[in-house]
Amino acid sequence: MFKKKIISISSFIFAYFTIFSIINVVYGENVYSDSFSEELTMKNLSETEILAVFNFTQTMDLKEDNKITSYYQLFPRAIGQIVEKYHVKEFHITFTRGSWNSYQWGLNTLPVPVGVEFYAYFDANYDTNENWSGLANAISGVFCASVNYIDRSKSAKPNYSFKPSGSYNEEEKIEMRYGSLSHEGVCTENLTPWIKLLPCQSKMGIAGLLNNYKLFDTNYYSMMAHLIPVCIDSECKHKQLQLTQIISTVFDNKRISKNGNKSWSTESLFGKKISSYCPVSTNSKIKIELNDSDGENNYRLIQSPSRFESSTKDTKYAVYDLISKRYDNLNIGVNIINEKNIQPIQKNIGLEVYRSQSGFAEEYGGFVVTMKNNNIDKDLSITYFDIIPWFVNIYFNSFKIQNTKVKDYQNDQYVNEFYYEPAIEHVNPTILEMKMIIPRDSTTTIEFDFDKKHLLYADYPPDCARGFDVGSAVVTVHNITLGEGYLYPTEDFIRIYTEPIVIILPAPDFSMPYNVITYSCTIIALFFGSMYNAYTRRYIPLVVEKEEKEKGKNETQKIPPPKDSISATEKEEKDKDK
Amino acid sequence: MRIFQTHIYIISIIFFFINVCRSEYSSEFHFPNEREEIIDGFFSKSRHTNNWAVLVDTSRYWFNYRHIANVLSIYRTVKRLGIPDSNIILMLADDVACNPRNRFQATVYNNAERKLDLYGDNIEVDYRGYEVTVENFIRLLTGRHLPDTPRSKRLLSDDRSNVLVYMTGHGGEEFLKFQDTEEISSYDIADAFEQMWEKRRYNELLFMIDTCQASSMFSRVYSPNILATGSSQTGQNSYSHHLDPELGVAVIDRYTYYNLETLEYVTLQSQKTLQYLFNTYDVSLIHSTPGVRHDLFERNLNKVLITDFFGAVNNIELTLKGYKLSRGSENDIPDIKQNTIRDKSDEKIEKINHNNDDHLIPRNEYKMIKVDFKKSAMVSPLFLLGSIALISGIIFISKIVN
Repeated sequence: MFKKKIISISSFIFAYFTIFSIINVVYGENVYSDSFSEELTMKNLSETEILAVFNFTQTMDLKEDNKITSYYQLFPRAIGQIVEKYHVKEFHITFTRGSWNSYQWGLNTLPVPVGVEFYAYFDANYDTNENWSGLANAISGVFCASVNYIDRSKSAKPNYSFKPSGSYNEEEKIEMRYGSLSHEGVCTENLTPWIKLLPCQSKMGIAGLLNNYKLFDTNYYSMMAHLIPVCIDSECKHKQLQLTQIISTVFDNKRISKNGNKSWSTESLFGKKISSYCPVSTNSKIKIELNDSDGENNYRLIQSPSRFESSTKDTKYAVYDLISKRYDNLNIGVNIINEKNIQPIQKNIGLEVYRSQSGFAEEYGGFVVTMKNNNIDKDLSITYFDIIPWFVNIYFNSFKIQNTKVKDYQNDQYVNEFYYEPAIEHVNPTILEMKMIIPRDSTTTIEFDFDKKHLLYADYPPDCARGFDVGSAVVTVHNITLGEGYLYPTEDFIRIYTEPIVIILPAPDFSMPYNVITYSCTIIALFFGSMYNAYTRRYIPLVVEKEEKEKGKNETQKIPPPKDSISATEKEEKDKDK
Repeated sequence: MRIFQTHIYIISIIFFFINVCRSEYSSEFHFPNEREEIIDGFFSKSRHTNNWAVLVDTSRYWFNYRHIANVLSIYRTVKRLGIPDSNIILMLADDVACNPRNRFQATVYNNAERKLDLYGDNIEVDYRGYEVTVENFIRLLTGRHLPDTPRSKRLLSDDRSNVLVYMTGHGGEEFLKFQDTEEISSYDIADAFEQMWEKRRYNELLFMIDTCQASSMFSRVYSPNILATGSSQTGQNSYSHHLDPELGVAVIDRYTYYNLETLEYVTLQSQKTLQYLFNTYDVSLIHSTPGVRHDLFERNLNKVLITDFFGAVNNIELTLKGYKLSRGSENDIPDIKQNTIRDKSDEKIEKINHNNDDHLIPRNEYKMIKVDFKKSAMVSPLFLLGSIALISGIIFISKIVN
């Protein structure tokens, strides 16, 4: 009886598990899926400079409760685990080397500051400060960078400048943190782990063109990873995680080409040919953006493309579909026939932003921010956001906001919002955020003064003579859509970053403590010596001397009395005599 | 009656022990030193199961290019010999590869001929720039990290790990400068190693240092199983090797350069020993007298392979699938003894070993003495049967007596 029961229970359990696992296998594959797509876009940014933008996008389906599944197919586990552990909703990290030359290259459609920029959105139900520092440490491990130096004293919470790029329910509460490191270098050790996040790494597909020797020998190199949640259905109940990895570089053809030829191709830029496509990718394309007006007289494509696509009014894309396998081991590029007629393909919104340092010497200083609207027919609505480290003391009363056109600029009509958070030493930086309107054809300047602080001994970095970095200011231009070529084409804002500034702080002579020690030791020794001498000296009264003299007549002196005491007593005697 | 019984028991136990000690089978294991040669120095082999490397460059600025090249040369060697990036902690105090002054971007060369780029296209620097501090270095060795420190920045070694600690930078008597601002003293290093030993973070440790007065840096070490070597004696300077006129800086230090002369020819199967490496040190070439400290190290340096520290342990995984070995195809089975990879450099070793007769330690002769397996195999079942018979006999006798 008992045995039968056991058998029946065990068979039931067995059947249950088999059915359950079958259901899991059948449905599991349908529900959770990863995808990957790769794309490379190239164009003439100026006569001799070529912009190449690699774009790799991976997605991963989330569970119904918007949590990460344990089914990793293509999506990098290193990222998934971090996102899960620190309750990250979305993060954006960029590494940049060299600054974007907006005079010659126009607007940067993938705007980034020099160095590292890092910001993330967290689930507000948890301790965001803790998650932020945890995420910064974890990301520093993933990308071999010192991102962990973005701590609370270097990060801020912008109110108007940044909006989440992902999509969220109304129920979800998110909180943001922003930080940057303008001094951080970018090199092969950052590219190596970045490539390892791709499903085919650099072994196949477009990523095979990523040649570190060529990429770091360019005028501008920017590498980024953006993770956002994306809705699948219209009600936004089901979500995907989307990881977009982008490399944007500007090659200097003048330097690369051997005979001064302005033609370029994948082989001349990257030193490699295309090795098929990544087999797991759903989309694998190389695009060359061309001026429509140029016509076939000025350039000739080395390979005939799969098709042409129009992008904007004047430009079109020559699209090479790598999945067709037609272009394996071939060289894709442009032969330029008429060198004088190359039309650079640029975008512009007519806003120039500079930030410079005023003042001199190591005591005081100031910032001057100039924003010039070159549009004749358009007022621009912008937000100026600046994180100023706590080692400069800003005087709030020194703020001056002026405009060349409007006399009474400092009112609510033009400066809509003004957010100012003073710094606390070692705890948080000065945060400055201003929402304002720059009238057409005018220049707005913001000026303010500061004191340079004296730091503690341990606050100085090893190379403090180089100066201290103040990261780029962020200018967000609202209500403008650039469309294609922008990271998320639907977004209605554009960012412009100023160049970072190096401030020379008064640095002490670091050998000073040793000097102090030696000086003070000498003084103590001198003082102590004389005092000790004075206190321990025995002054022998005259009477004793007489006795000694008597003794001296009788006996041979064994121990001579101290010379000083003799002289002292003798002096006293002499004084008395006088 | 009882006395008689106990006597029998005692005598039987004595007999048992005599039997055990006498048998050929057991003597191999109870007296290893006598027969060590039979099993080819089995007990002199390292007992490690994994390898770790901590490679530290402590100097910043472009003109210290050579220190970064030193570290990267060793990095390349250990990676070539199979230690994965996850087991290498690389600390570089400055970025010379992508330094604007570097004419050859994203490269670091250790030779003016510039044939081999050390930076390569697969490198992971774990601590860089300002992160290279004395605090972080000691935290790394002792494992006392802040809670959020990622895995790639931790030395996750255990008591079966052989750890290579290589340091280079500017130093003086009993100290090594970090980034021109702070310094680590020889006492700090000695105490950090002791803490590592107490926490069972290494099986054996090779401390290698290329700096001025290098020997003073390991003079205070007192923990067991540590072998230390340095570029110069206390009171001596260490020198750079040669200059690359196009880069404008010296590209490598002498001590590391001549270490690489040997290490470059080491393969994973190579039988070269550390004694051999130390014998290659030539004072006239290095311009300083390299120091070796082996008083804390138990094993004979003649038996310590270079790959015990610079190479990775090959994990052998057993599979359920087997290979049939029939008697007829005996000739097809590769003879391991003949086919062990003996590169040309191994022959060189023997030549050098023969030439240098003034060895401190007798050199190892790579000879396999065949163990008579048949005999031992025959002895063991006989011995077992005999002992069982003996015990049962004693029990039988004691019962009869009762």
